[in-house]
Amino acid sequence: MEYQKYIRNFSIIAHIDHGKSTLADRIIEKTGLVSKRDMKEQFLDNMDLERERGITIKLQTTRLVYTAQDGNEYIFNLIDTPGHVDFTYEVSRSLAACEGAVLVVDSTQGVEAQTMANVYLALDEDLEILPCLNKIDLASSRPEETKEEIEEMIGIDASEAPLVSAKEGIGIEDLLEEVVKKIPAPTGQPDGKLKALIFDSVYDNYKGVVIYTRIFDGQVKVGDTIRLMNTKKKYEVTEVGIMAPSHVPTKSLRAGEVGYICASIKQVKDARVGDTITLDSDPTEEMLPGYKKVQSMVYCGIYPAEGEKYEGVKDALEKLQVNDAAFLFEPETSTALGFGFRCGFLGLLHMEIIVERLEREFGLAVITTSPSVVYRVVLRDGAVEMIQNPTNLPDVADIERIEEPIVKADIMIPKEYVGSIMELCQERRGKMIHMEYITETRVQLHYEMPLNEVIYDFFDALKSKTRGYGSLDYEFIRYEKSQLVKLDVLLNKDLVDAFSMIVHESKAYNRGRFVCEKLKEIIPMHQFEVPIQAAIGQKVIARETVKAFRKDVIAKCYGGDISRKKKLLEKQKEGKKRMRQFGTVEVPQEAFTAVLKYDDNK
Amino acid sequence: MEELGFYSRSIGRGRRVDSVFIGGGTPTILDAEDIYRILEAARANFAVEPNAEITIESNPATLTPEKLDRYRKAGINRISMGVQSMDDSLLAFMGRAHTAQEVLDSYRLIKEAGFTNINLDVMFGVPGQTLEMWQETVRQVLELEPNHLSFYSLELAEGTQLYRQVTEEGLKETPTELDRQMYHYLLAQMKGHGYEQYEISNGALPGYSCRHNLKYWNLDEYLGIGASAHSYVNHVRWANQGDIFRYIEGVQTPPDRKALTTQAVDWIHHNSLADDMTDYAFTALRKNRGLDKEDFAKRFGMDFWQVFHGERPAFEGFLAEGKAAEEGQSIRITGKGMDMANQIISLFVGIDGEE
Repeated sequence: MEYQKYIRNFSIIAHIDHGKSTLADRIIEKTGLVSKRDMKEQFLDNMDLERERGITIKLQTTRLVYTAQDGNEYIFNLIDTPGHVDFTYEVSRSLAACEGAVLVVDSTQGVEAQTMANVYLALDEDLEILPCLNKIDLASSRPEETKEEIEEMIGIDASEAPLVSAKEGIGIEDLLEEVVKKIPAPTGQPDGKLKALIFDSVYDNYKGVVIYTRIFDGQVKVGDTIRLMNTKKKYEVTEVGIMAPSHVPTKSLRAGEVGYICASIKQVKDARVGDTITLDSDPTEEMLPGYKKVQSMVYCGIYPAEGEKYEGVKDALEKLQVNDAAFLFEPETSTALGFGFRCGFLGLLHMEIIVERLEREFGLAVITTSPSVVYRVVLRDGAVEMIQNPTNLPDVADIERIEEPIVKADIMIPKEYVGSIMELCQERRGKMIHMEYITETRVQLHYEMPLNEVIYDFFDALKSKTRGYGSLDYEFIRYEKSQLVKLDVLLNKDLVDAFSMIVHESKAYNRGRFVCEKLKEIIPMHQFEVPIQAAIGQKVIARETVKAFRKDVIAKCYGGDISRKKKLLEKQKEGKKRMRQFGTVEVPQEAFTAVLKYDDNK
Repeated sequence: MEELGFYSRSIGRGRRVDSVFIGGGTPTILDAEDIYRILEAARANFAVEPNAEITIESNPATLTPEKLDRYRKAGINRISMGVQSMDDSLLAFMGRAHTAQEVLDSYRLIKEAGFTNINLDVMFGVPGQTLEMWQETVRQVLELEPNHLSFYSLELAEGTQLYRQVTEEGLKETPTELDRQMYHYLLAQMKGHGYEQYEISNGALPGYSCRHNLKYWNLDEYLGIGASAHSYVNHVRWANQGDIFRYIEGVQTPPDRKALTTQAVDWIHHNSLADDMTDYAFTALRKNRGLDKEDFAKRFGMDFWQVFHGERPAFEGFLAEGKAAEEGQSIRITGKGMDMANQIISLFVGIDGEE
């Protein structure tokens, strides 16, 4: 139908710091829906944490009205996307809601790693890419070179790319005109069966889960019973509307439009990003492509710190999960650390954010560690045990074999990194199955790798070795027998099970040495020498010693010193309270993360 | 003078002063006449006892027979001299303005002027100082037979050249083992020469403990006059401005009516009962004889172990290790425990529930 001709659904993609957010602000300003007075800097970033880190984490989409030079009014649905590599899936689903993408390239920096990663995502969704050169106001701007780079590296025509300065507000009109001209209008069937994409879902205290959606075909209105096709759940719609940018209810949402739906949904994980919405009474046959279940890339254990309550942490984690479908957790125990949780995240940034929110928003003190994967232990008498906690590993004498989970890993990288990534996978005991060229420049590697080599910092290492270009997907395939041993750590001859870990035989020595060295740096001096030992069974394979503290006395203390020096001593005493006591040795809380964060490249 | 006047009016009445200490940087740089006048003012404003201990700190290169004579006439009966070391190269390294010879000369002058109560300050643990250098310094100092000795490990103070040299230029600090070796060497030598160590960093021939400093460690009252001076009176601690101009300005500003202090004060803290009790423990345990539980009860109206009951188990650990001793009414840190004195003193710096 006609109305769709005047709709443009697009996103802005860019490398971090290339000016995406400022540009979005300018566009919003120019289209008049939000007056300059109401503009809060970088309007679309709506969380404090984000503001601090200067990156966009949560999505926020806005509908704008633009009166073009041809005199017509166009509806622009500007869909914001998170900028960080951890949230690739979310980015790809937001892009799937669009017909085009404005690609912002900093004309002083040129095309960079994440630019490419996002472009690939946009290309995967068949979007029309409209390049635009930002920061032309700066002296170091090199627009011609940047255009060439775009043409060479991405293969799209950049000759008509608008030259823009988001900061100074230059060229914005040109850009908007190009959006009208170059980005295709949607072409859905308003009378067809409802087929809509969930590209984001957010929990609101009053409305429950708010689904952000792009309608491809059909329409939806209040009172309809919708069906979410992948989770197979049904809900009654209580409100539909558009974001302008605050929620404005409308009668319905039709094909080609972007808006929100409320349907008394309690948890965001019930309205998973990427799912297809259809009508229960007249469902569409085909689901929209691209739906994926949450895949955790990084795990850690989260335990309440000394003095913190378990319930408080549990509560907080549950609250965080309400609005973060990608965050998973389940209970776990450690003999030394007590009761806690094993948590799955999209990546290290995701994990850091969750931990920071626990500490800041909920005021909790937590210890984070990394757990091991679940091992399958076959005993001599035939019994099988699934062991996740190293301290629960049965006596070596009773074990016939230990099996570890193996995954198939699909790694996509630019071809110039093939060598170093193959090396990385080999280091991590990977077995190459297959390799193929997806495009002239991109290669996909298929490896079989032990999951315990993948879970913590493999993803990080991959990203850093490929300068952000690499991506990883993995799936469990089977358990496989392996030479695994339990590595223990003894402090002052006492076994501290918090540090026990199950490692592959080939890694045991290096890991043991690393742990001893790290602990030696972190454990403070005590009144006696503290021997630190890493052992497999009875055999000590590495050791370090923390020297004894021979002097702890205030030499001078006269009238003017009393207040100050007493206060200092008090502070020291408080500091000690934050240590955990293991037998005779005091260990600071950082020891756990430091030790279990095994970085073999650094 | 103004300050003395103020305090004499505000708190001086009825109080007896039995020790006066002229210290700071190097008071002997002043004109002897000024020292004389300050002491006169002190006596005019306060009831200074006839046998009060009156000390002046001095630097070896600044003493002359004339000055010393004036000091005697002013009533000074104790001289404290900052020797630090008898090794000229070390003295130069430390940036001291005197030599070993000047120490000997000054000491002779002091004795000739008729002073019979002399303290010498020595320092160990200085980067580059060897055990032999220290032993030689100790030998020479003890040979002079001073009445009192103060001995300190070098404390690196931010902003000093030595601090910079250690933190930025890679100058190696004295290893802890050597520092302790030096400390215990002196203690042993002192014992052999008839000195009694009575505090972590102080020792004296019988009867010559420093009355003034003991006030700090007995939680007795003291009034500080001058820039940067500290005071503890009526359970209130305060310190004067460090900046000399601010100090002067402050003293000359008319004080608040009924104010406890002048306007030259940098900070004031009213000690709570808990503050007093912990200050008491913090300082008393520095003394070899330690703290007296009976005295504690008398002053604070509470039983010591009742107040610190939470720390009893930890304290017993130290008792078992021989680092602390509890005999009758006294609780003290033993010779064995002194190197780690903070471990024990830490137990008593806060009272549970009051922190």
